[in-house]
Amino acid sequence: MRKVLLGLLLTWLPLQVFAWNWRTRISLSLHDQPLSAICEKIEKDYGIHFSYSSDIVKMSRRMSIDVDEMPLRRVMELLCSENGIEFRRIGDQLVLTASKSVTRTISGYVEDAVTGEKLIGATVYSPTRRVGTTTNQFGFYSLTTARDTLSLSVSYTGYVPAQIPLKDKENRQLHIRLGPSNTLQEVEVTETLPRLQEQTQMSKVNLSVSQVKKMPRMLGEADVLRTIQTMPGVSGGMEGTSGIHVRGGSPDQNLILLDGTPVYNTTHLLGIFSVFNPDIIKNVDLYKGAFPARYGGRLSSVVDISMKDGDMYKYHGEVAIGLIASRMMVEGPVFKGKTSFILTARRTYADLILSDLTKRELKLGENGDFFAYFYDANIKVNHIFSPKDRLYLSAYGGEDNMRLNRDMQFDSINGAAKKYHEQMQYRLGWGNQAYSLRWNHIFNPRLFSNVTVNYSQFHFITDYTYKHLALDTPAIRESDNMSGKYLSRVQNAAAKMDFDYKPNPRHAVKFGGQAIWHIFEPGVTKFNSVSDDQQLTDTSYNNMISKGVEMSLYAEDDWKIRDSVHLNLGVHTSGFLVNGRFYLSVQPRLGFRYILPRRWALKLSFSKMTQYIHLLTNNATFLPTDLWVAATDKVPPMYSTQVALGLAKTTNDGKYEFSAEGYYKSMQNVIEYVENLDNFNSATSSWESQVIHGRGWSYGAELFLQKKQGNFRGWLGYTLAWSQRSFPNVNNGRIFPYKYDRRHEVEVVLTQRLGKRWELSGQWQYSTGMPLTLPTGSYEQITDPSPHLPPTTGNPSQVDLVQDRNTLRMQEVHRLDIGATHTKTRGALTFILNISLYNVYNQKNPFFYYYKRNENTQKRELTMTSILPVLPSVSYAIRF
Amino acid sequence: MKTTRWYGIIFCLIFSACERTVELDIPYEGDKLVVNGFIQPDSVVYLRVTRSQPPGGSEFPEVRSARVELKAGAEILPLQWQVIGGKGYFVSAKPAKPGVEYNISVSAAGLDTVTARDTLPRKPLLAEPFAQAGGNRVKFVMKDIPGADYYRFRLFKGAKNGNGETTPVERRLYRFDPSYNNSFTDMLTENYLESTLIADDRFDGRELTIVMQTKDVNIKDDILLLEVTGLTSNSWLYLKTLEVQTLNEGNILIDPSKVYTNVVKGYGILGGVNAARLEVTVK
Repeated sequence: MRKVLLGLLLTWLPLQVFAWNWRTRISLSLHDQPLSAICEKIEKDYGIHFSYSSDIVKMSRRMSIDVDEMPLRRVMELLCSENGIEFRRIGDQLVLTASKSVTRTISGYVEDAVTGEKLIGATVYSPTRRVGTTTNQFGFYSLTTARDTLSLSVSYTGYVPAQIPLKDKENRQLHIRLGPSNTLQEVEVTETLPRLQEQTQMSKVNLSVSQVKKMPRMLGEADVLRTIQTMPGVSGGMEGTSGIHVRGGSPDQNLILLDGTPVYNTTHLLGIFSVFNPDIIKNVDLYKGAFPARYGGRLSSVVDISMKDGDMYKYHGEVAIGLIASRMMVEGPVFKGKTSFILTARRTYADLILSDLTKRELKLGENGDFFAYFYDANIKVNHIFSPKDRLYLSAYGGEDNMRLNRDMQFDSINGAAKKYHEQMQYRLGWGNQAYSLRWNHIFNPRLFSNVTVNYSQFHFITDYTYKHLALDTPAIRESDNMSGKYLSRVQNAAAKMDFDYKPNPRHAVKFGGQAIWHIFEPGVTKFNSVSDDQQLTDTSYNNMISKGVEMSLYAEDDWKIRDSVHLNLGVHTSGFLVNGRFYLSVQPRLGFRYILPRRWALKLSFSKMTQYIHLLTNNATFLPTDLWVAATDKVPPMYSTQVALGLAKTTNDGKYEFSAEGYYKSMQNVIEYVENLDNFNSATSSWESQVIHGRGWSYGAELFLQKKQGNFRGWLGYTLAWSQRSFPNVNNGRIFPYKYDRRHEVEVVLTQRLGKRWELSGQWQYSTGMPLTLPTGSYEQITDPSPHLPPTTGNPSQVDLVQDRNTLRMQEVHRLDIGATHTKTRGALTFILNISLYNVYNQKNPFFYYYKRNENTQKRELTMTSILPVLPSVSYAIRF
Repeated sequence: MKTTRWYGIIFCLIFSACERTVELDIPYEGDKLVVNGFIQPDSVVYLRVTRSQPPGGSEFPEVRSARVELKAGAEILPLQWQVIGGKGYFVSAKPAKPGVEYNISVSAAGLDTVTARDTLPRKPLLAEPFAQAGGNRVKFVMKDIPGADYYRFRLFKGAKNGNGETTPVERRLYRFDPSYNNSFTDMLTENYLESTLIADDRFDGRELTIVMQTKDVNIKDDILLLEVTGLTSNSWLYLKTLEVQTLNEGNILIDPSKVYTNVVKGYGILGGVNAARLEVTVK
């Protein structure tokens, strides 16, 4: 009996002393506590004794933990794996020691399994370790995680999520291929970012191209910039145009990048369509503030557009016809799995259909021609040299053109007999070109680099030749031979290097540098005139070219201080050398994120920006005739400072996103024209005297609620904003509203999938009226020194007294657009029909106000002009 | 053709503007004196004095009771009220002379007293006029003097009066070589003008042969009067900004623009001009 008791005691004692094991269930909820405090709590609650040396093991790191009935081993893994701590049991002690090498880095690309298209922003995540990352602009990721991580989860909207097992415990390069989900949706590359609370970045909007294509269309054309306009904080400017005004900034303050190359003028048809063909676009990121340090050169926004790479394995194509334009796209491998290309092109064709009519109406003659169109084309080639090296060549070219050729013999002029022959060629056009060559290199799993050389230009050109020959010679000797040309152009060439470096799970570092050569030709005119064989003029005017060099260096670190605290610290430093002057600017960038209870993220950002180039304009809207010029002593570079504070959350199921942001932005050295003596035809040396520089402010709040999953999707955006300017000589120095200041804007975008083939969409927008400048009086005019001269042939006229700018408001604007897309697949062909109705209830929104003479009463009345009534459109595409 | 018609309809739908009369509460600062007068050497000065009106006004009451004092240098020029062509003018008793500054002060009951001043510019130098019957051109030579000059070009049909002098009787429309006024589109649209304003920054100090293409065919023995007016900076700014405002009226892409005035506490212009005329007999 004594032996039995002794045996029981011996058995019971260890059970009491060693009252825990690795399967002991732990329940614990601590927020933002040092690791030492968490261990003490476990020790107290579960009798688990910890042993460690504070000199060796870093126990001060603050963490949050919320577990319920979780095995002890799993809890210890959570606490230790990311902190470089190893744990093991020695007797009843749980001994903590510093680990020598507990992590490894997995890196590589995430791509579409079918096409090889690199996926931007795909999430690579270790569920057990709760660490993750997203792919960069080139589809590259680098994830440093615990050495014994067994698998990775990879996901991307529109693709089947994948679990990737990891067999060994070494650093390795791992290229991940995701299969597109089999839905009615076009196999579009769409982005899903990590949940909002997992990003330090704020004031950013990401657009999926499939969403762009689902939106109601105007005249049959899907438009990226028009979709961006539906986001809070972005205003569309004049009714019907696709320009963007971000947080009170002007369009020249937007840095719009196509594969990293700036595009100066982003619209066709005087602003009605953007120059970006949606068929070529893979991803669009809009930054309204909180600018990452890698961006610089503009004050108000960055729109970073990435082009598709092209299918690496199969040939595909699409042809589409719309109300005003047709487009085509073809992509495929040059060398399977190694080299791919994608080519897109688009052209309007109304001029071809109306050719006979215009030739007749404009008296162009049998040999005459008339063309009025826009076109754009993109091509991209990418080649994989090795698993570590890739090359991308991208090119864009687009123009708006109007050409008129007359070659005709006339028998009369203004009703009087006169034989003469007239030849005339007239051209008016503008366009962009953008080229880039980029080389990706993976130095090691933690260091990725991209080298870019690019060239971009925007030009506006108009020219004519005119020949007039009287045919009654020798009785009448008249021969004129004239020509003229006007050109304005801005060009830049750049070389830059960007690095992504992830030294450990707590830091994601980006750094690099750039040099840009700018060439400005702001309005060069050349004329020649020969009359009756006599040279009258042969002039070149304002043939001035100014050149500048802009250099920049940047670095930023996305730093995970604690689980709940993240900091993005960055600096962008740039210098601009122009006409012997040098401007230097240091622009700090700061982002901060703190996780609140219930997984809400509190975000804060601060950024300074500098812009060394100005756009001269004195129009009601921004036109291709506006001139780009470099900063000068009298008109120095523009500077802005922006702070933003916000809350953001994505629901646990990923269905809903909500964000609320408040911002304040101040701008220095923004410019305005002094008086409208004439339009800025040429930026002669006197242009500085025609503009003044002043200050600008914008502030407001933005709310955004989005449903991201399911058959019914959409978003609701609301913006409350103020945007103001102040100039010494405008409105007597008083602060006045910026011309696109709108107090309230509401955007509702909804899409509903119906069955397997139909998708409906609707978009409703409301905004308060824009500021307006109207005459505030009128008075008699004079043109002659004497009343005894013969009367004028024109109508009687007067002077309108124009005083302060933007003191009135237009009426409010609202509009509903709807669209329906039908997709049908037969064999290898997919047929896509889109029917859209713009301005469904034919709202007559104000576009322009002026005083117009009523012919009946002979009185002048204030008249409001509306354009763009209800507009139905159809487009049809076949994809193969 | 059917397709063409449909496209025509569609494009009309897109770009057709719908207009309607609206009312906005536009603040009006009250009537002010408006003084208008161009001073031409060797000619009497005609001055209009009116009141400004709320926006949209097209009829402007004359202020006949205004007290107007016009000085040529230190000399006060007597003025008298005359009605010419249904409009009332304050007309100087003496012709204007170059070389002095002209100052004006106008006051009227209930309105701010306004002042303005200007000098007279130099006269353009014209020579070698030529116009051919059956043709539609007028050609001449102009000598520009170095320094900033501003010009207004006009063309009239002339007729001899009782004194044997040729006076303008009808304005003629023409278009100018775009080399000087940048109006490329004049060639395209067959836009003919009544006057052209040009600064000499493209031909400063040079002698030019200028060709104007007339809208009407020249008729033998007709007399044309070519007028080139030198303008002071004040006159130039007023006429140029007035031209811009008039041209841009109703242009949906352009903000309304200001018209220059040199009248202090009021509106209008007191500007110096100096017109040179060249008689062109169509041969």
